[in-house]
Amino acid sequence: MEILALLSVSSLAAVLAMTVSRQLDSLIGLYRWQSLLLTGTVLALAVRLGHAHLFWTAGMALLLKVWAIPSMLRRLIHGTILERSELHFPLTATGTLLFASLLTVFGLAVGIGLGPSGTASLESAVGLASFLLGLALVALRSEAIAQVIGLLVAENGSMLLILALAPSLRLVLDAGLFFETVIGAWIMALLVHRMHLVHGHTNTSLLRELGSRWV
Amino acid sequence: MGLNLSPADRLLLAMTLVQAAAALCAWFTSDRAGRWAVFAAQAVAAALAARLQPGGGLRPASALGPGAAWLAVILGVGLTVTAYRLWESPEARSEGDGHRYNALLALLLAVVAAVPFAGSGLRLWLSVEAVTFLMALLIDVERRPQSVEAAWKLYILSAAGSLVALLGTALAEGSAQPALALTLLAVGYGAKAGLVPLYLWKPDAYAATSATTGALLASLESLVGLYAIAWWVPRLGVSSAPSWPLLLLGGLSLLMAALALPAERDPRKALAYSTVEQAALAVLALAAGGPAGPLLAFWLTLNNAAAKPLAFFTLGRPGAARWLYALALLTLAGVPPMNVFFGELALFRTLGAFRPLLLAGVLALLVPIFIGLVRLVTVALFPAPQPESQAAGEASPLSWSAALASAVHLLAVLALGAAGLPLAVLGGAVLGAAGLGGGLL
Repeated sequence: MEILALLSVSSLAAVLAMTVSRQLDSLIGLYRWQSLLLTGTVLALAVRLGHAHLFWTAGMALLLKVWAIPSMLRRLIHGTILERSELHFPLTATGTLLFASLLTVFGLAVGIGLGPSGTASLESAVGLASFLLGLALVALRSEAIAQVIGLLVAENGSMLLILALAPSLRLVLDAGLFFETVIGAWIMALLVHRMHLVHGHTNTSLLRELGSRWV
Repeated sequence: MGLNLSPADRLLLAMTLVQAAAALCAWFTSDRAGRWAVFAAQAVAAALAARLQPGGGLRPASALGPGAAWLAVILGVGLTVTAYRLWESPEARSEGDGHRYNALLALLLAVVAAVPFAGSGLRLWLSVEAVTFLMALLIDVERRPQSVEAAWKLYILSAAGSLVALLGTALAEGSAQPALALTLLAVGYGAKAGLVPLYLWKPDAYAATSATTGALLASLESLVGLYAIAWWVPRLGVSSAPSWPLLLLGGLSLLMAALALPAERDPRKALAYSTVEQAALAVLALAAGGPAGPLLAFWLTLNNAAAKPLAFFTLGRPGAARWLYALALLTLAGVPPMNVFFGELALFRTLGAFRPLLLAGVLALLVPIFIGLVRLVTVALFPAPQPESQAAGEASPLSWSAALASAVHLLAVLALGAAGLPLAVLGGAVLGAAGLGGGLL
């Protein structure tokens, strides 16, 4: 029980660190750590609940989230200016951290009551907070790869939330894992690559040819 | 060991195999052969859907059960969109890499057709998600500088919506919190349909794509999102009571369309806001329509799917196409005797019976949308004189295949208008009492 709580809270701390991270390389590294902690959470839940299929889910998460996706993202930025350039914040670092903290408190407060039959659940609270922070990363960062990582973090959060709410929904978990992580990340990487080729940058706030300002 | 497939699964398998074969063919042959292959595959899929049972006969509803009507719309739009391209020049189509476009289009049409077959929340999520993947790739293949921007905006917001919808699916499957689950599902699938808050990709994507992709985005992408929401509504017990989260989402979406459309000068972006408006009305029908809600939502979605491709096929084209374009805009504005008018009239009767104040609000928001669309009609029919240098680059007239596809949509708009009269007269409540709403999902 304590291990599960420790893993969940550490995973949330990694996401909070991501919101103030200034380099893509460290952002990718933190995503890898968060995914590793999530894998540990899934393993701990598998042992606690005795659901054999969760071992399979943990194995897939290890393969895809801890190894394949971060490696692909690192490869995408390797040798480009993105590897060293500093990420911009629409708010100051302090403002971003404050916003992220408020979002975390909100996520924890709402998520803790989402457990099965209304019971308190730390995993669902951390899952919802991570999900919201991931979406905030998408909204607050203008760098395309940082937005990709934001979505992946939100996907990690939703995975934890689904695990907490209904661990027996194996197909939902595996489908989300496969579609959002593998195919989704591949398509996003493809689009980032094309963006770099066509525009010479991957800063989405500079994409203004179509005239509308967006997040 | 034989596979024990249901008739619906057999139909889906056959349609998918045909479309996959067309995609392969399109990849390895010329652009022209590929276009014909995609059209032929769509025609075969429609024929299969119509005659599935071993004994033959037009019994799609019995083969597929609920969702057959939605499938008919998908296959119909797929047929006209693929027919539209047959004789259009590459310059007029402006679809970039023809081989890849044809192959992706075949796959996309196969996946869209799978949506009404879903049968479970997870399969529904997977098929809608696959539609989004392919739509983003289709836009990217067009290879214009704006395409990658449009594809990115579509993908990133749709992916966020997909995650929200996945959470909603888990909550709904776990039967934990139906109201929260429905809200998440509506927000998530609303990204595809065109509901707040994740509709923001629509104006930019519509502005950056070819007529074919624009027609698909405006009709089928919106349709699958609305189908997914409509599929969940009765399963989460909303048919029997009004859903306030859905009312709020529909109302806010209508408000955004009413604020944005009149100020929009780009006709493609205006069409995007019109899609937001139509999606909002369909969701309002689901929220307050009671047992007839699914029927009304389907009717409004069908009307949009009939009118929007006509607008995209004819937008910016000279000659008689300008008049067709104007007619499409007037249809979308809700001018009688076209279909949208009667669909909206049926909705107004339902909303009026539910909450007169809500009806007043909806009518007030529809006024600026009407004015915005009529202004676009004026601009299309009486354009400002162009400098000679710009006039030289005028678009080519419609090819005969494009004219035929446009004519089919025109006929659909008029025929659905005629068929919509009884629905509008009876009103949603009467139809619901007659049990006509439940068979669609």
